[in-house]
Amino acid sequence: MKKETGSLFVTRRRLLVTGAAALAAPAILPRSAFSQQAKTIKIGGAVPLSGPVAYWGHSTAQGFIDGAAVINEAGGVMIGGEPHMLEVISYDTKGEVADSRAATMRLVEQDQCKYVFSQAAASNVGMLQVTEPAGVLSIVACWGYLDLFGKDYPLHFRAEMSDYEQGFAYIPFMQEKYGKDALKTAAFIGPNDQDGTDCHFSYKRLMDYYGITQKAAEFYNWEDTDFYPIVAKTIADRPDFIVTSPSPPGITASIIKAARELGYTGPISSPAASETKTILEVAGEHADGVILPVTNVEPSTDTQKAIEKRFMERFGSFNALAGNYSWWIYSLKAAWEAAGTAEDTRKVAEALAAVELEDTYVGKVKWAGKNSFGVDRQGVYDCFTTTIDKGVAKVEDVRFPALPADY
Amino acid sequence: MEDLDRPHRIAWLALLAVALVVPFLVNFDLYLIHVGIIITFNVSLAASLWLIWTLGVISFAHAGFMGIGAYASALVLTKLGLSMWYGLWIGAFISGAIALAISIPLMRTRAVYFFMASWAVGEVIKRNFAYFKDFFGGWDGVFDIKPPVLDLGFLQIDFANRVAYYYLALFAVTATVWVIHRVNSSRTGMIYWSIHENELLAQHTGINVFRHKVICFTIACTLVGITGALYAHYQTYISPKTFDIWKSEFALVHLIVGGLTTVGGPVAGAISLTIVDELLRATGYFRTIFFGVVLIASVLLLPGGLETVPGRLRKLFQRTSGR
Amino acid sequence: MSDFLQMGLTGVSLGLMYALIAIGLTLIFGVMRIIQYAHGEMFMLGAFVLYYWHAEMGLPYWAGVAVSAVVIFGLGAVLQMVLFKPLHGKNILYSLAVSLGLVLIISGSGQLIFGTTTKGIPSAVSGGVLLGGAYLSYERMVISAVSIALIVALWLFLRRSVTGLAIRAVAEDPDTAALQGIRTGRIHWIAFGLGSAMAAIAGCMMGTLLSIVPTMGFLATIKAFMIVIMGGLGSVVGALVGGMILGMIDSVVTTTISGDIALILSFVVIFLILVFRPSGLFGQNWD
Repeated sequence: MKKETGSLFVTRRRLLVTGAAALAAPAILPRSAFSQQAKTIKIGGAVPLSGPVAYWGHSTAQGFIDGAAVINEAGGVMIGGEPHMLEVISYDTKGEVADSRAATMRLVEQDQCKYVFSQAAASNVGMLQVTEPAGVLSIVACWGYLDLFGKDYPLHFRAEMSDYEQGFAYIPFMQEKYGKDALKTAAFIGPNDQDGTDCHFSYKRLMDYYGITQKAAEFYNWEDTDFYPIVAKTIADRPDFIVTSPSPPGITASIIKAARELGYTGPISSPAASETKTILEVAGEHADGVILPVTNVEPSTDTQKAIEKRFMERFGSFNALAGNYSWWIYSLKAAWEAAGTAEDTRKVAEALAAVELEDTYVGKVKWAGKNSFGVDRQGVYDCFTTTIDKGVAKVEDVRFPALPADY
Repeated sequence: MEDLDRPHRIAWLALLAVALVVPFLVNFDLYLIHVGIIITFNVSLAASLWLIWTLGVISFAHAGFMGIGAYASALVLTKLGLSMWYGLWIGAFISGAIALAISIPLMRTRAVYFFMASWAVGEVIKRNFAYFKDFFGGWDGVFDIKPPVLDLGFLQIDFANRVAYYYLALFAVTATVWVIHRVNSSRTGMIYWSIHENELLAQHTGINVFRHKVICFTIACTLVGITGALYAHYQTYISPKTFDIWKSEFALVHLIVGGLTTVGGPVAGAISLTIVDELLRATGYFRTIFFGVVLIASVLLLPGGLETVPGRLRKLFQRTSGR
Repeated sequence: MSDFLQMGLTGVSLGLMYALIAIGLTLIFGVMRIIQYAHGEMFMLGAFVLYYWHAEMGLPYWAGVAVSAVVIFGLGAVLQMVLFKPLHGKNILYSLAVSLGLVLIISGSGQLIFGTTTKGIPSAVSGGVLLGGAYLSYERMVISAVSIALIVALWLFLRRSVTGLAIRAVAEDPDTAALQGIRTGRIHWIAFGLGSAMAAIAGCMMGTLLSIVPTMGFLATIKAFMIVIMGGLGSVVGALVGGMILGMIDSVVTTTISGDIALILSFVVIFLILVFRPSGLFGQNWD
């Protein structure tokens, strides 16, 4: 482990420099020390940048950093004929509620951000306690906690399609692929925390809508190392297919492998996995019949290719998740220009709800949900569904979710 | 019995004076006052953990007992409608009662086995909050834990105001540290340290070691239960994840970096590391890595922790001025 | 009937996997009386060495396991000499603190160096057999076999080889051992390295079954500690028995009731074992 040890020491030295720089930085000074630059719009990120869910936080922040650079290079956001530059500030939340509340306070109270983005349920819960009372517009990826969404939270936008919205794309697709009669019963496997409970709720509503009988619903512990017991219990009921939201790619792969080894052959859909390489590496030949909604493994349009290229240059890596989040900042830009203000967040929120983008990484985008939540605050976009067949992952279907009339 | 000597007393009073005027010094910057409130929680957590350490062991169930105080106070408000003024004492009482019941079997274990058994206790506490969904709210947690209002008739203080809460939290942490200091400098405190040094010897001099261990553990858990209640009503939201093993582990880090021989250690450790944690918020992974480096460096390079710094400086100063 | 057989088979293979994770920790503790909280990080690094060797460079699997064991042996030995040696004879809290620091540094730097994307190691073997209606994959058989082989090898090593006897002597009484001419310092880094290498082998074995991320160490640490406490620190047999108890609880209770209950029950069992046998099932009584 020579190499790693070497890097560790470099890291430590670098760390000291960073620490010194951080101490010198005016970050902790009261806001009077900040001279508010004219014509700048500050966007704050309260996202997990360290800890187990750092992956999500970095993917989200990258979309904003890249988008801000692109927009600034092109002359900024034009509001009332005046160009406004974008500035992105991100603080770590470790993916914890209390820490996220603190990070958002710092963004809102010290840095005076009027726009905050966040990622994952825990960070979102902490963030909302601060943003909504302060009149700050928030744009997040969060699937659960539906009681913290809708009419009572007019400045709160959920840009990522949850497993519920995705269902209106991938279930019709699966019905076409396998035939309606082959998918009469379903089972659910999720983590035994709030995310799992919320996703189970979405799953129930979806299955009721499509008239699919629900069999087992099983919940695992994050500490589990083996999925044989939980999978054995799930497939004992012989469901036609299994939904594993919101399991991350690694756990999904382990579930798939266990299911196939225990003799289950039906399709397994995973609305949160989105990391085909991991699934193929772990599950190997067992990965066939896996359905991954909102996962674009092969960027095809010019926009998608350009985003992939820019991310590779800027951050040295690119993943489908970061691509899925890259459109958020462009919809904000459109909203500022339509509203003619970046100060009045309520006006911006109204304008944002009406924004429709045609050509983003995820294709066509709009905000919906009026009949379900009272306001159009949920992002809906083309769902790129990837399937794995004979050890190869490819995009098999692209469609805009066929949302029900009362959505 | 022995009380503080003069320099120490001056240092403590100076610290308290600074803490009292901090909101004015930072020009009532709300975010910095928030950091101040978090510091008071971390100080109480670390200081009460230090009280257990005077027995020579470290409990990893400490965050769990903080959770018991927090949940009790929160549920008293959301289910019975009683404000924090009741919840605080109910939380402290329940936390202390459970600590008393648990510590009777727990204190049979020693050294490393104690540490691990306490870890299991903390984990069971956390998982019970998650498992009994109907009562504790499951992983979803408890929302809307409102801060209290103090009605003095002529004056009403709403603790939703952050400055007011800062002074409330400061009062609580001062009281906590004072209680711990009093216990530690009393004859009982001496007994704890004698158990710390040599349990067998203490037993042979006629000390009822088991009883003292149980009482000490109960006092510490009662104190941390109060901290938990204050924490819940400040954050207004709690969930089982809030009180996981990492909270105990970070309290331990504060303790070790600060120093282990006096109550000044955990206070110094919690104050300095909470500030550093805020400074590193924008640095991503370094926020985690830095804590590891500080922890190892302070064990190997600064044995005794921050509390030895004044002494070291004095020695250095005397040596250089003497020559 | 086949359901029960499947439960039993899963429980046994899971128990052996758990034991594999735990024996390294029990060895380190038995010899040095320190808490190695970063055991799971060694597990994680072991899996990553194999990942780069096998999945990235395409070199043979079993050679990769050996390389990983050697590399982590070296890392463990260095860590012992640099970080843990100065703490010898001090309160157990200090080794806990240093290893906790290592957890933060290694998992944080791991995210920086390896990236946060979940990775997977392709299995060395595929397929499996049906035994009376219960399925057993070859992969699990291999893991179980490796686990048994390592436990037996460690047991024999500690009882038959000169170094092994020296390790036991040091574990028993370091001062007397030193008087007999055993270089205790050398024994310490050898034992630490061996324990770390075993964690690395466990990481290599489990890495094909799970996916690997830099923060996965905590999984192994939790399981290893639960087992080692149950079985008694420093006991190889205890690790095996502890692993089996935990594996069976996980398999049977999860399949028949639920995963929540299985985890709560495991902790309650640990607590009860410690209350009635304060040094674990097979632990030495020490202070």
